Amino acid sequence: MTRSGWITPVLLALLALLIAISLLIGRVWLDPRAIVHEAFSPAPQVAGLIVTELRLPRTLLACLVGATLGLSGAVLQGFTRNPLAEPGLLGVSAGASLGAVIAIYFGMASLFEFTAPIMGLAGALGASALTFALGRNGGTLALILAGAAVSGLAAALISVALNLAPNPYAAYEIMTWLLGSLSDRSWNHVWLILPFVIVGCTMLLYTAKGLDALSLGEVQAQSLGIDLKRLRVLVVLGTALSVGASTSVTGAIGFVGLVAPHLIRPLVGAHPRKILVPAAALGALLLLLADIATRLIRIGPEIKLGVITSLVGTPFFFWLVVRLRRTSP
Amino acid sequence: MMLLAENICVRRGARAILDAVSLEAGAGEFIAIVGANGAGKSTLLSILAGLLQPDSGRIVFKDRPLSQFEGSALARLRAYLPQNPRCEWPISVERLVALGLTPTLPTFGGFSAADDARIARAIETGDLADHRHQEATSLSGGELARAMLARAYVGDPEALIVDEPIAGLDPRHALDAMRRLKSFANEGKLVIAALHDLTLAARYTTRVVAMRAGRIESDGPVASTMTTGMIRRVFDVEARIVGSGEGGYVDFIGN
Repeated sequence: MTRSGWITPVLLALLALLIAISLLIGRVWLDPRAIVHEAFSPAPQVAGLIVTELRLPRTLLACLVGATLGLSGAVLQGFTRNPLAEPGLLGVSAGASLGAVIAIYFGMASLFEFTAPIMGLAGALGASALTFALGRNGGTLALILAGAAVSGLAAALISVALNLAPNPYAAYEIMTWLLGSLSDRSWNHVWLILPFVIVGCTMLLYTAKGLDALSLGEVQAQSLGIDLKRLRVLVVLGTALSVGASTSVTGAIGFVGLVAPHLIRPLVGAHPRKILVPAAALGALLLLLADIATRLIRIGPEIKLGVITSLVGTPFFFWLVVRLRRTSP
Repeated sequence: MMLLAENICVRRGARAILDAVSLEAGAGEFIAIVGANGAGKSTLLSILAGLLQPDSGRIVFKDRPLSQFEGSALARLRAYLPQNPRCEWPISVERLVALGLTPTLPTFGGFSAADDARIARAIETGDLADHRHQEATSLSGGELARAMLARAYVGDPEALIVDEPIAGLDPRHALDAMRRLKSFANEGKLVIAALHDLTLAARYTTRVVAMRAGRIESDGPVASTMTTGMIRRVFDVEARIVGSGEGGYVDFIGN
């Protein structure tokens, strides 16, 4: 068997290092010694506040969202046995975006800080319910097609909102939100999504055995005692909760969920179960790295997180095509 | 009886795929299901394996209605291989064979030492030692068929249901596969296989079930069922059967 036990510890060690760096880097560069010093001083000071109130929640959100994207991408690729599957496959991300856009469009977001994330979560759950209902009696392909249809519908409605936006400012706000960002997120956002991410990711981890058996196709998996209906519920609901909650606070962030499982796959001998946890760790690592990049790149307005992941992720797509062309007959 | 099917009917719209099929099968039997394309062989095997619910009729496996079995409990007792089984990820042959132990595995956690020994033995029996670490997606057709068969028997099931296990195999690997299936039956397992090669079916199996248009046309020991009359009724071709037992063969003349 492939020796792959080292991957997760190495990724977690790198992640810990990156978390430390993430706490120090930003508009204000902090000196680690100052922070250690402050930790022991009774009165809170600026450096301490920056770390605990701004950078720590932002860093934790990056880790939570990145891990969710990596894990759900790995689960969906295993479930569909399609290397192009990514967390938005079932319409969850598009649904979450639509919910948040509706909140912004009707001005609800400015009344109460959490209207957009809560509406986003509702949109994600609604979209996945629709996907599930549409693809209920077919195979995996029916589910993928249903997800594409729901994504298309949500995208169309988002376009309507942009088209009919009451004023340029609202359109700008919607567009900015759609680009995906972690700036100005607080502890409240962390607490808001944490329960959904924990429950959703736990459900996704419970698919491990089924994903392994699906390496042999649906018929053989079923003959090996895998309950495909239960597996499908775990995949759809787990993705809806974890990815839905994540997208509803950060906006849609592409490519992390596609890339992370791909990079892990060859390291663990393509074994679907063994991809899950390292892909989550790598997802957290990649998203945190991207978020640090948004803080470092200073050209005009802040480059949005979703823009960075797409810019870096698209060349990876090219590489994937070239590699597939080489390996498949 | 290990497996008992009574009056199985399966309909797709107005068409009957299986029409009042009844079958009894016991331990130690190696049963060939033969028949033309579309005669209902695969559907019958899916039903016997518990993967498909019949529209009517009942199936009893080891004195219990098949529908009462929990998925993994049934999976420990019977193995099933569909036509042309494929592996979708480049996992190693060892991993592929190990997937046969899925029904005995806990949700989380790996293989015990006993499991590892079983996997090693199945790889040995399947003549796959050289391919152990090779990616399953790079195996030749014959090697993949051997690996899939090893995956089916690694859990030591009591019944083995295989759909066209020798389709696409070269003569040597086809003979190997038939010999291996025969040896399972000799160990007291029940083996049911859909087969198109009547010569190999006649040589290795203990019993032939011939199907035509969703019905069982004839059922019995090889010597009494593998006749030119049966081949004419089931396949619409004239055949000549030369010899019997190890040296016998079935030759098609024309229609």
